Amino acid sequence: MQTQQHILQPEHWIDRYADDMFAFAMSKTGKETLAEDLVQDTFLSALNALNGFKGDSSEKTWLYAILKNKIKDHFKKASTRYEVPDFSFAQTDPGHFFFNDDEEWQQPAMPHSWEHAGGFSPESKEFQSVLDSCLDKLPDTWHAAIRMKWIEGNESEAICKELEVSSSNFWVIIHRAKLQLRDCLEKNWFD
Amino acid sequence: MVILSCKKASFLFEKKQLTKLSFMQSVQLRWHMAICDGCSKYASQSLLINSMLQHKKTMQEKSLADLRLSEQAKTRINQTLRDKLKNN
Repeated sequence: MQTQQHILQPEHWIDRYADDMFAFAMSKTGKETLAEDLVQDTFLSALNALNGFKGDSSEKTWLYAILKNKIKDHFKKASTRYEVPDFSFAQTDPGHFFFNDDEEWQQPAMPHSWEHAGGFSPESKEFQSVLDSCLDKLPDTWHAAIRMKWIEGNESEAICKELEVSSSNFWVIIHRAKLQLRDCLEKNWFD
Repeated sequence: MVILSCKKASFLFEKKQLTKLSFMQSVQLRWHMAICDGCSKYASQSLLINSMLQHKKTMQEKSLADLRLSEQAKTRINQTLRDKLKNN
Protein backbone atom coordinates (compact mmCIF):
# COMPACT_ATOMS: atom_id res chain seq x y z
CA MET A 1 0.00 0.00 0.00
CA GLN A 2 1.31 3.41 -0.87
CA THR A 3 1.05 6.36 1.50
CA GLN A 4 0.03 9.68 0.05
CA GLN A 5 2.98 11.64 -1.23
CA HIS A 6 2.94 15.41 -1.13
CA ILE A 7 4.35 17.41 -4.00
CA LEU A 8 5.90 20.86 -4.22
CA GLN A 9 4.54 23.57 -6.48
CA PRO A 10 6.91 26.54 -6.11
CA GLU A 11 5.03 28.54 -8.77
CA HIS A 12 2.06 28.77 -6.35
CA TRP A 13 3.98 29.49 -3.14
CA ILE A 14 3.52 33.25 -3.15
CA ASP A 15 -0.22 33.10 -3.86
CA ARG A 16 -0.87 30.33 -1.39
CA TYR A 17 1.37 31.04 1.58
CA ALA A 18 3.12 34.44 1.40
CA ASP A 19 0.43 36.43 3.28
CA ASP A 20 0.07 33.95 6.13
CA MET A 21 3.81 33.42 6.43
CA PHE A 22 4.30 37.19 6.51
CA ALA A 23 1.68 37.55 9.28
CA PHE A 24 3.40 34.75 11.21
CA ALA A 25 6.82 36.41 10.85
CA MET A 26 5.28 39.74 11.91
CA SER A 27 3.82 38.17 15.05
CA LYS A 28 7.31 36.98 16.00
CA THR A 29 9.38 40.00 15.00
CA GLY A 30 7.03 42.97 14.74
CA LYS A 31 9.18 44.47 11.98
CA GLU A 32 7.79 44.70 8.47
CA THR A 33 10.94 44.72 6.33
CA LEU A 34 12.45 41.99 8.50
CA ALA A 35 9.32 39.84 8.12
CA GLU A 36 9.37 40.36 4.32
CA ASP A 37 13.03 39.34 4.16
CA LEU A 38 12.38 36.25 6.27
CA VAL A 39 9.59 35.14 3.92
CA GLN A 40 11.80 35.69 0.87
CA ASP A 41 14.75 33.85 2.47
CA THR A 42 12.44 30.98 3.32
CA PHE A 43 11.33 30.60 -0.29
CA LEU A 44 14.93 30.84 -1.52
CA SER A 45 16.15 28.19 0.91
CA ALA A 46 13.18 26.04 -0.01
CA LEU A 47 14.10 26.27 -3.71
CA ASN A 48 17.62 25.15 -2.85
CA ALA A 49 16.26 22.24 -0.88
CA LEU A 50 13.66 20.97 -3.36
CA ASN A 51 15.52 17.69 -3.74
CA GLY A 52 15.54 17.16 -0.02
CA PHE A 53 11.75 17.21 0.18
CA LYS A 54 10.61 13.69 0.91
CA GLY A 55 6.91 14.29 0.53
CA ASP A 56 6.05 12.94 3.97
CA SER A 57 4.76 16.29 5.22
CA SER A 58 2.64 18.82 3.38
CA GLU A 59 4.22 21.61 1.38
CA LYS A 60 2.85 24.12 3.91
CA THR A 61 4.25 22.32 6.97
CA TRP A 62 7.59 22.02 5.22
CA LEU A 63 7.74 25.75 4.36
CA TYR A 64 6.74 26.77 7.90
CA ALA A 65 9.46 24.56 9.37
CA ILE A 66 11.99 26.45 7.23
CA LEU A 67 10.49 29.81 8.21
CA LYS A 68 10.64 28.96 11.94
CA ASN A 69 14.30 28.06 11.55
CA LYS A 70 14.98 31.32 9.72
CA ILE A 71 13.40 33.28 12.59
CA LYS A 72 15.39 31.35 15.15
CA ASP A 73 18.64 31.91 13.21
CA HIS A 74 17.88 35.59 12.95
CA PHE A 75 17.52 36.00 16.70
CA LYS A 76 20.61 33.92 17.29
CA LYS A 77 22.64 36.20 15.03
CA ALA A 78 21.07 39.31 16.51
CA SER A 79 21.93 38.31 20.07
CA THR A 80 25.57 37.47 19.34
CA ARG A 81 26.13 40.62 17.30
CA TYR A 82 26.29 43.55 19.68
CA GLU A 83 23.52 45.77 18.48
CA VAL A 84 23.65 49.44 19.27
CA PRO A 85 20.20 50.96 19.40
CA ASP A 86 19.59 53.78 16.99
CA PHE A 87 19.46 56.59 19.51
CA SER A 88 21.13 59.91 19.87
CA PHE A 89 22.49 58.66 23.18
CA ALA A 90 23.61 55.35 21.71
CA GLN A 91 25.80 53.53 24.18
CA THR A 92 26.89 49.93 24.06
CA ASP A 93 25.99 49.76 27.75
CA PRO A 94 22.82 51.71 28.39
CA GLY A 95 23.70 51.47 32.08
CA HIS A 96 26.04 54.41 31.57
CA PHE A 97 23.24 56.51 30.23
CA PHE A 98 20.64 55.73 32.86
CA PHE A 99 22.85 55.47 35.95
CA ASN A 100 25.93 57.25 37.24
CA ASP A 101 29.01 55.53 38.65
CA ASP A 102 27.21 55.05 41.97
CA GLU A 103 24.39 53.36 40.06
CA GLU A 104 21.92 56.10 40.95
CA TRP A 105 19.53 57.57 38.37
CA GLN A 106 21.20 60.35 36.48
CA GLN A 107 19.77 63.19 34.44
CA PRO A 108 18.31 63.23 31.86
CA ALA A 109 17.19 59.63 32.41
CA MET A 110 15.71 60.08 35.89
CA PRO A 111 12.03 59.02 35.80
CA HIS A 112 9.63 61.97 36.01
CA SER A 113 5.93 62.00 36.82
CA TRP A 114 3.78 61.13 33.84
CA GLU A 115 1.40 64.01 34.01
CA HIS A 116 -1.17 62.90 31.46
CA ALA A 117 -1.01 59.24 32.47
CA GLY A 118 -4.41 59.44 34.13
CA GLY A 119 -6.26 61.08 31.29
CA PHE A 120 -5.01 59.57 28.07
CA SER A 121 -6.32 56.76 25.95
CA PRO A 122 -3.74 54.02 25.29
CA GLU A 123 -5.88 52.93 22.35
CA SER A 124 -5.53 56.21 20.49
CA LYS A 125 -3.74 56.05 17.14
CA GLU A 126 -1.32 58.77 18.21
CA PHE A 127 -0.19 56.93 21.33
CA GLN A 128 0.04 53.57 19.53
CA SER A 129 2.29 55.06 16.87
CA VAL A 130 4.63 56.51 19.55
CA LEU A 131 4.66 53.15 21.33
CA ASP A 132 5.40 51.34 18.05
CA SER A 133 8.24 53.66 17.14
CA CYS A 134 9.73 53.25 20.64
CA LEU A 135 9.49 49.46 20.29
CA ASP A 136 11.09 49.67 16.84
CA LYS A 137 14.09 51.49 18.29
CA LEU A 138 14.92 48.53 20.51
CA PRO A 139 17.56 46.11 19.23
CA ASP A 140 15.87 43.08 17.59
CA THR A 141 16.49 40.63 20.42
CA TRP A 142 15.21 43.04 23.08
CA HIS A 143 12.18 43.82 20.96
CA ALA A 144 11.49 40.11 20.54
CA ALA A 145 11.90 39.46 24.27
CA ILE A 146 9.44 42.24 25.17
CA ARG A 147 7.02 41.17 22.44
CA MET A 148 7.01 37.51 23.41
CA LYS A 149 6.72 38.22 27.13
CA TRP A 150 4.27 41.10 27.38
CA ILE A 151 2.43 41.24 24.07
CA GLU A 152 2.10 37.53 23.35
CA GLY A 153 2.15 36.49 27.00
CA ASN A 154 4.50 33.52 26.64
CA GLU A 155 6.21 31.75 29.55
CA SER A 156 9.71 33.08 30.26
CA GLU A 157 11.18 29.59 29.91
CA ALA A 158 9.80 29.17 26.39
CA ILE A 159 11.13 32.60 25.38
CA CYS A 160 14.64 31.79 26.64
CA LYS A 161 14.57 28.62 24.58
CA GLU A 162 13.40 30.38 21.45
CA LEU A 163 15.91 33.23 21.78
CA GLU A 164 18.61 30.86 23.01
CA VAL A 165 19.51 32.97 26.05
CA SER A 166 19.94 31.95 29.71
CA SER A 167 17.30 33.11 32.19
CA SER A 168 19.72 35.57 33.80
CA ASN A 169 20.48 37.04 30.37
CA PHE A 170 16.77 37.25 29.73
CA TRP A 171 16.24 39.27 32.94
CA VAL A 172 19.04 41.65 31.91
CA ILE A 173 17.57 42.04 28.41
CA ILE A 174 14.10 42.80 29.79
CA HIS A 175 15.53 45.30 32.29
CA ARG A 176 17.49 47.19 29.62
CA ALA A 177 14.65 47.09 27.14
CA LYS A 178 12.22 48.43 29.74
CA LEU A 179 14.63 51.22 30.75
CA GLN A 180 14.92 52.30 27.15
CA LEU A 181 11.23 51.90 26.36
CA ARG A 182 10.18 53.86 29.45
CA ASP A 183 12.62 56.63 28.64
CA CYS A 184 11.46 56.80 25.01
CA LEU A 185 7.78 56.98 26.01
CA GLU A 186 8.51 59.66 28.60
CA LYS A 187 10.41 61.86 26.14
CA ASN A 188 8.03 61.38 23.21
CA TRP A 189 4.67 61.21 24.87
CA PHE A 190 4.45 62.01 28.53
CA ASP A 191 6.69 65.05 28.67
CA MET B 1 21.58 45.12 55.44
CA VAL B 2 23.02 46.17 52.11
CA ILE B 3 21.22 49.12 50.54
CA LEU B 4 20.46 48.48 46.87
CA SER B 5 21.57 50.88 44.15
CA CYS B 6 18.89 52.22 41.78
CA LYS B 7 20.31 50.15 38.93
CA LYS B 8 20.04 46.99 41.03
CA ALA B 9 16.63 47.91 42.43
CA SER B 10 15.11 48.56 39.00
CA PHE B 11 16.65 45.28 37.81
CA LEU B 12 15.16 43.36 40.74
CA PHE B 13 11.83 45.03 40.12
CA GLU B 14 11.81 43.73 36.53
CA LYS B 15 13.05 40.33 37.68
CA LYS B 16 10.18 40.16 40.14
CA GLN B 17 7.72 40.38 37.23
CA LEU B 18 9.41 37.37 35.64
CA THR B 19 10.34 35.05 38.49
CA LYS B 20 10.29 34.70 42.26
CA LEU B 21 12.83 36.77 44.19
CA SER B 22 14.64 35.40 47.21
CA PHE B 23 13.31 36.55 50.57
CA MET B 24 16.33 38.79 51.07
CA GLN B 25 15.93 40.36 47.61
CA SER B 26 12.26 41.12 48.23
CA VAL B 27 13.01 42.78 51.53
CA GLN B 28 15.85 44.84 50.01
CA LEU B 29 13.65 45.84 47.08
CA ARG B 30 10.73 46.89 49.28
CA TRP B 31 13.11 48.87 51.47
CA HIS B 32 14.64 50.66 48.48
CA MET B 33 11.24 51.47 46.95
CA ALA B 34 10.07 52.98 50.23
CA ILE B 35 12.84 55.57 50.22
CA CYS B 36 13.59 56.17 46.52
CA ASP B 37 11.37 58.49 44.50
CA GLY B 38 12.95 57.74 41.11
CA CYS B 39 12.60 53.97 41.51
CA SER B 40 8.99 54.22 42.77
CA LYS B 41 8.10 56.21 39.66
CA TYR B 42 10.01 53.73 37.53
CA ALA B 43 8.10 50.84 39.11
CA SER B 44 4.61 52.21 38.59
CA GLN B 45 5.43 53.35 35.03
CA SER B 46 6.95 49.98 34.23
CA LEU B 47 3.73 48.24 35.28
CA LEU B 48 1.73 50.72 33.24
CA ILE B 49 3.88 49.87 30.19
CA ASN B 50 3.25 46.16 30.75
CA SER B 51 -0.48 46.73 30.71
CA MET B 52 -0.20 48.86 27.56
CA LEU B 53 1.75 46.06 25.90
CA GLN B 54 -0.75 43.42 27.02
CA HIS B 55 -3.45 45.60 25.62
CA LYS B 56 -1.62 45.63 22.28
CA LYS B 57 -2.22 41.91 22.04
CA THR B 58 -5.96 42.26 21.54
CA MET B 59 -5.50 45.15 19.13
CA GLN B 60 -2.83 43.19 17.28
CA GLU B 61 -4.86 40.01 16.97
CA LYS B 62 -7.48 41.95 15.10
CA SER B 63 -4.97 43.51 12.75
CA LEU B 64 -2.80 40.38 12.26
CA ALA B 65 -5.80 38.56 10.87
CA ASP B 66 -5.96 40.95 7.94
CA LEU B 67 -2.26 41.56 7.60
CA ARG B 68 -1.11 41.16 4.00
CA LEU B 69 2.24 41.19 2.34
CA SER B 70 2.37 44.35 0.22
CA GLU B 71 2.07 44.01 -3.56
CA GLN B 72 5.52 45.54 -4.02
CA ALA B 73 7.04 42.96 -1.71
CA LYS B 74 5.23 40.16 -3.52
CA THR B 75 6.47 41.36 -6.89
CA ARG B 76 9.99 41.69 -5.54
CA ILE B 77 9.98 38.22 -3.99
CA ASN B 78 8.43 36.76 -7.12
CA GLN B 79 11.20 38.30 -9.24
CA THR B 80 13.90 36.99 -6.88
CA LEU B 81 12.45 33.50 -7.05
CA ARG B 82 12.23 33.63 -10.84
CA ASP B 83 15.86 34.74 -11.13
CA LYS B 84 16.82 31.95 -8.82
CA LEU B 85 14.94 29.33 -10.83
CA LYS B 86 16.49 30.59 -14.07
CA ASN B 87 19.98 30.24 -12.66
CA ASN B 88 19.39 26.74 -11.37
